[in-house]
Amino acid sequence: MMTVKKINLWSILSKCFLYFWCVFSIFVFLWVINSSLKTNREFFGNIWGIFQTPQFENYGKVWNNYRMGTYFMNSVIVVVPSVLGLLAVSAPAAYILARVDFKLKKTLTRLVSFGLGIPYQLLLVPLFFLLFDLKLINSLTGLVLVYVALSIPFTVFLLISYFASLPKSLEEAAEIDGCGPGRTFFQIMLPLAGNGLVAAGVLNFVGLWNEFLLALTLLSKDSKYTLSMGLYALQGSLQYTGDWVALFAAFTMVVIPTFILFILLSRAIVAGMTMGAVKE
Amino acid sequence: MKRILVLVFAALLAAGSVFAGGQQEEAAAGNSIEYVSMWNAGEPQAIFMEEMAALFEAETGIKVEITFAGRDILTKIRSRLLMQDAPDLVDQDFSELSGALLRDDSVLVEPLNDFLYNEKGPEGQASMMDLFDENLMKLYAKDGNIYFFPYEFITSGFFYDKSLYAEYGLSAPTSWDEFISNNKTLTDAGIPALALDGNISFYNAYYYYWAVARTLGAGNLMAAASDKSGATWDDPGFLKAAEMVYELSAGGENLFQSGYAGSNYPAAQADWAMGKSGAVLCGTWIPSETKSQQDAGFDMGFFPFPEIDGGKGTIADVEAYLIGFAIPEGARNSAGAKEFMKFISKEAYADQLAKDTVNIAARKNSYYPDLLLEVKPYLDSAASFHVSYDGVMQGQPEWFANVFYPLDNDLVFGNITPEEFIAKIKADTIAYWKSK
Repeated sequence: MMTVKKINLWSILSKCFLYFWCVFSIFVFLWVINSSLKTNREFFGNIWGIFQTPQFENYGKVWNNYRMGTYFMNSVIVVVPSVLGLLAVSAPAAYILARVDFKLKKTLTRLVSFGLGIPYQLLLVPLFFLLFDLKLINSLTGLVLVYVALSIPFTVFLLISYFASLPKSLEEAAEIDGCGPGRTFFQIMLPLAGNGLVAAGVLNFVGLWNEFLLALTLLSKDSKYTLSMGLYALQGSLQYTGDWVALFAAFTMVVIPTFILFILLSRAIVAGMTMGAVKE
Repeated sequence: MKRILVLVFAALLAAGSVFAGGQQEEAAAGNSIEYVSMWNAGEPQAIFMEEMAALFEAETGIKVEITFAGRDILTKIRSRLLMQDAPDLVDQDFSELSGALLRDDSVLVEPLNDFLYNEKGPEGQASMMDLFDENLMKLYAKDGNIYFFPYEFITSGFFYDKSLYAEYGLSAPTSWDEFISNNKTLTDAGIPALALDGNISFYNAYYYYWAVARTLGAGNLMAAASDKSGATWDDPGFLKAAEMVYELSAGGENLFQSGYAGSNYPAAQADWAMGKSGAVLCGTWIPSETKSQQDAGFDMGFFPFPEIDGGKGTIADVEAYLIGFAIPEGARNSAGAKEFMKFISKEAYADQLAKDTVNIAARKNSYYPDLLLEVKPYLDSAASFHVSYDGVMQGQPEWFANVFYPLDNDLVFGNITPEEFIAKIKADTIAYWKSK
């Protein structure tokens, strides 16, 4: 017997919107890459046209002359330790809050949730003075510490649900086999929360890689600029020199690492984000 | 896996710590100066400054630590000054420096009179002042003190496509009527006579500010902006200036490119550089800014904002928009900063600045880049100087942004008539001062 599927208008509309959004995003991305390979005259002569001869020197120019290489390395130096440090702090905290019963558990969990609700723009001034007193203004270490501290609530909140979804029987089996709490966490539970850690890591990586306001507030020396700051400076520089195609090359450089990360880890990210969403 | 992660983490943290020196840790020593610059890394002026710093260090042993902070440098510097953490040297255009660091309630920069009048010039001149036009240097003086030291000179006027003009038998106009006639010839031939990116309010503002400078002379726009009673706007010269701007607009002869009100920078100026329109009213940075878009044989000419019959302003009154240094109060190595300023003012370096950056050096008799050669005669024959936007941008910044810009945009776009413009600006100026 044939079953007639009910046509759901809402579903069709949503799909159309998503397809349109995808096509639009891909088009914009390709347009930026295409523009980055043109000369300025080509670009202004026909902004929708395909480049004649690829101008790879645009990339060389922003990497060397406009210090994008330095800004890129600064971003790596700041973001990678920030994400690793963040996971190192947040994973055990989330594990305890998810799996261990103790007196202040609910209060602590709520406190973490409250942290999510504080807009960090409110913290800019006190943070600036605090770091100034600690002589950590214009310091990448200072920025790492701030990034780790401000990202903890989101990461802990995200990881709690992963740890909570793991079966209790695994811990019990580990205990019977003689594992202490530390070993149970590192050797049993942490690997099982791998997808969750990847998702938390990538989401934080992307957020911090593109972070601008804190970097703008806490870094004023251009030798310490991260990529987002560098891009801002570059935008200023290139508009005054009229070298707009180089700006597109810089945009591409900034986007590529997160783009690659998403491509490589997309399965883990999706698995991590949907884990614990339903009870089976 | 865990061990590898721990090792990677430790290595990156160590690397982070190595690369992460705090600003206060790098406090300027006696043999170094900290220079926070308005330029961005990679800009021609930034490259020039880096080169100068290296040469200066080789000659004097004083290291110049440069931070390229970009155009919003003063926002960053002001907070540092208030926290008694002043760098030794900053630079920006003098309007910005004046507005941020030379306020009535607080002067945050060192006076340079002693340096300018008592220090010998780099080539043995009797004083540093001999390198500059003294009237120019005093434009931004406050209570008899000069606080800023220029290295780049900018003025504004019409840059035009000489080949296009020649094709239609036109030459640089010497009067407003000729200017209108030239523009009509081009628009009749289907070529936009004037290029304007309408989304840049301060480009739109050039027209009215210059029109007032020609009808009434310099100082009058500032007087009108500062007049709490609004009565100054009753002077017919202001209405005449509004009529001049309106004549160019979509409400009048429609001499700008199509859709100029919605044109986004740099679309119109790029089109102009590619020979698609006649002229653009802009600062002397435009040859450099559009260099990469110009045709190989692009022939650029310059003429000042035309005079008008019966007007009090003449082309001998030249706009001076200066860029240069200031030494903040509390600078740790003020002497080193002065030495660097003197070093950079050497004739050879002033010429190099002009050549490398396609700009005009502030020092007298310096080299002119080819693209700016046509500006030279007007500067050489200048009888007086006035500051850009008649000083209103730095003197009455709030009025300029909130009262003038919206109405001026409407006038330039032809949305309001000259009479409406005058009536509204008078009413809004009175309301503005009442709210203070």
